[in-house]
Amino acid sequence: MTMAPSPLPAPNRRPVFGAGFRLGRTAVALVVIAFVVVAALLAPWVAPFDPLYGDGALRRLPPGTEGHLLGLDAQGRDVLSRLLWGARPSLIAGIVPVAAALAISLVLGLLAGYTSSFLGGLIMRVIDALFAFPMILFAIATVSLLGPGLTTIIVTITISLVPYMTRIVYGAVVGEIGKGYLETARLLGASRSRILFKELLPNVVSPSIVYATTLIGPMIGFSSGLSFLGLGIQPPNADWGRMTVEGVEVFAQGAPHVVLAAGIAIIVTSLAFNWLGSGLRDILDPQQG
Amino acid sequence: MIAFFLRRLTAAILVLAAVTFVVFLIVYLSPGDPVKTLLGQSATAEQIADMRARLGLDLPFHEQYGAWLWRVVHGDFGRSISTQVPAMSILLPAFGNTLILALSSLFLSLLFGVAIGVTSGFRAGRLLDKVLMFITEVLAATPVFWLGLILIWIFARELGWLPSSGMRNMRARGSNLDLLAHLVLPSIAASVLAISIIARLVRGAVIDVLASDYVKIAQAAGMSSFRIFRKQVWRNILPPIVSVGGLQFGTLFGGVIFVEAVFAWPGISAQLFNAITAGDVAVIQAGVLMIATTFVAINLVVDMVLVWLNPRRAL
Amino acid sequence: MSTDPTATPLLDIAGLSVELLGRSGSRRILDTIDLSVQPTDILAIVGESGSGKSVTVSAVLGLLPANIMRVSAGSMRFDAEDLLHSRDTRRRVLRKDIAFITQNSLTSLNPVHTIGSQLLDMIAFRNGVGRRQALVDAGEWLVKVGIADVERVLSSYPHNLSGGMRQRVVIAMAISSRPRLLIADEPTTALDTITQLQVLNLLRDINTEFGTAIIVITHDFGVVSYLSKRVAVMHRGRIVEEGPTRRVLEAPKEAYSRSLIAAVPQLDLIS
Repeated sequence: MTMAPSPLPAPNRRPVFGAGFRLGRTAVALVVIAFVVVAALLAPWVAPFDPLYGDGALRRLPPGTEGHLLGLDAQGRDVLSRLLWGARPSLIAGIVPVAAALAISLVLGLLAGYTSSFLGGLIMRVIDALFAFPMILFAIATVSLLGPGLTTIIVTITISLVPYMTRIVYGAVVGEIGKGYLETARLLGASRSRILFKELLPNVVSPSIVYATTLIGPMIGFSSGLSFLGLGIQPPNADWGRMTVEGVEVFAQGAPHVVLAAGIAIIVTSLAFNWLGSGLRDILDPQQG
Repeated sequence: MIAFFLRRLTAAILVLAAVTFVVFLIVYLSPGDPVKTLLGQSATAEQIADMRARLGLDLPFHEQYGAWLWRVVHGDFGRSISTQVPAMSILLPAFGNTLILALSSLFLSLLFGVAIGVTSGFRAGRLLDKVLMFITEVLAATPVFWLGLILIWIFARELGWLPSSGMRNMRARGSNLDLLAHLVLPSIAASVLAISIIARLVRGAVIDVLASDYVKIAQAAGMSSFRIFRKQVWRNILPPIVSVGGLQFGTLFGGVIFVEAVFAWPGISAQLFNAITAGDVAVIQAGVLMIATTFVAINLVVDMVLVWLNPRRAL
Repeated sequence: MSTDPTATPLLDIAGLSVELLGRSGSRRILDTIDLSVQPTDILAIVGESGSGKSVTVSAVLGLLPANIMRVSAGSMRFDAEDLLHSRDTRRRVLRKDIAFITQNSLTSLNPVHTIGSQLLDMIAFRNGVGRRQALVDAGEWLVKVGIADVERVLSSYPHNLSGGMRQRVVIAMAISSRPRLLIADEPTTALDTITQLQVLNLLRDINTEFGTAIIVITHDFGVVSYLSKRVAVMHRGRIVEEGPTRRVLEAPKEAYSRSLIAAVPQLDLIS
């Protein structure tokens, strides 16, 4: 294929707004992310109520009810607490697969780009074939093999991301080779592995990390989607996707607050990671076309 | 050109062959015994063995694969294990419904994506641009299924303007207007991410073109923005639009499952889900293969159109 | 040929200042520029990069990027009409009376359209004629700039032509409205010496035959001495010296002009 597909907004290659504006946004993003991470880590201590305990008498009460900032869900559970507890699986499902895919892709991409061209060609052909599978099919396939749950989602997303990330790494490797300094190092007598680790890897890791960061937001969204379909984390535990499903019952009776809370959490967190990604790109990869 | 087409076609076929292999492999490896499901708990070992032989499930892997592939190439995708109806007769209409949804989403994506992208590009750096780009960023971070729910809540429940689910209203007796009404909300939900991607891309392309010398010369001659757009900018941004449009169409096909779930749209993902729950091997294989083939076909068409638009790309 | 200094100048720039807007305040990149060009004059503007030559021209053509640059003072008149504040005047004048060519002929042409399509469109726009008439005119102008194989060129794409041919096409597009002023930004920089001479001669002929005034921006003193009648030296947004070419090159008054001219390795005065 002649195109490099990407599952998310293409990196904006023009310095559009003032650099100050973007740094400001990155700072905001970091604050939001820090907040969410802290919520995820400290949920057991910070959440006002037990997320699994539902008070039947208080079902479906809206936000603003005494003591319940965001209201209660269909089973009388405090929405805010569930939101805080839900941060953990949501974040994990977004970050872990990206990190794993990054590691795998670095290996594959470096192999494909720097070692024998036959092996490289083979790897990239396989990658091309994998592009024919929409992520959702991978999810379905993996679930039918492994059964639903957080682990399944992580495995699915990791495998789905490998083609995209490998393409990026491979492109970066080819680009660096094209600059000629690797060949010079070789001529000067450096060993292949030395060149690989000391020269090539550092220059390839940077843009790869930038790209990976831009994937986290969409993957949080995608994983919540998988949970929404029932393929992900199972009740009574919940991530934000699952909360949305459960919120639909309440929704049908005219109270959208659960759905709104979960959705806004997803949007804000994804947006923050996206901004972080652009901010990183400005810092680490400033030469834009 | 022909040579390029043949090369790409061969590559596409090879990819599809690989896809069939993977599809078959996954289903082959999945746990659950379709025969037991079919015959029920009280089946004897003999009956099971018998059925296995009849369905050809006792043959070695490569023979099963070969036999299946042969049938597939001849258009026989086997029968649904649960209903004994040919897999294709279940999937084809569902595929058609999904196609309708995907096409209308593509239409909306291109319409709004290009409009927003061009507007932002011409007003780059100014307030309108910043506002539009912020909106697209938020849209890109919005999960599709959630957006679908919100749309239903606002437009179907609270305002009652549009139907909340399904594809047609029985009482409308196949009226196109009814179909259109049912299409609106799901298409909007499905297209939002693509709108965001297309808008950013088009914006970038417009900015690049506007910075070029030939546009400067047109501006120096006093041409209006509109004229410049029509004569200078439009043809130059077509290739990336086609490229991203084709790509997004493929992605829409994959992401449409969320929309179909939320809006109860009778498309292919609904069928796939049922098949998976029931362990209906033939339908799963056929369904996945259909989707993958669509992907590959779309990519091939997009590649060909791109080469046609800019002959220098056939390298 | 000297021009009558008391006649109304074709282009009259007085006290023009342009500011560059930045986050930490604005900076002047053009500082009270006074420049005037008479009809049939050929003015060369020389200076190092960053001296403000291109900004001056951009200001005249209305091409200053609005977000980051702004005219902060001064006036610009074409044939006594206000170019700066009147949008309609500017549109009208730019359409018919002022033309512009850049140094890179490849980027000056739209790569996805044929030469014919672009030339016709420009002629139709500038002169307000229909396509049929524009086609006839296109052929005539191509011949005038020295292109013999009109048919082939009209149906070619920009990348099919040589650099010299392309530059001629670009010039043809510019002069097709018989403009009274032609602004050329480094017109010969990207060309080989022989083609450079051809293009310079072409510009000269345009000046003699149509009476078109020319402003040529260049850093090449060979071009200055070969083509121009007057020269203005710019440095850091200001005009340092200005006067008849002969005089400035042989006896520069200002220290900066002297150093600039002296820096040229060998001033081959072709005449």
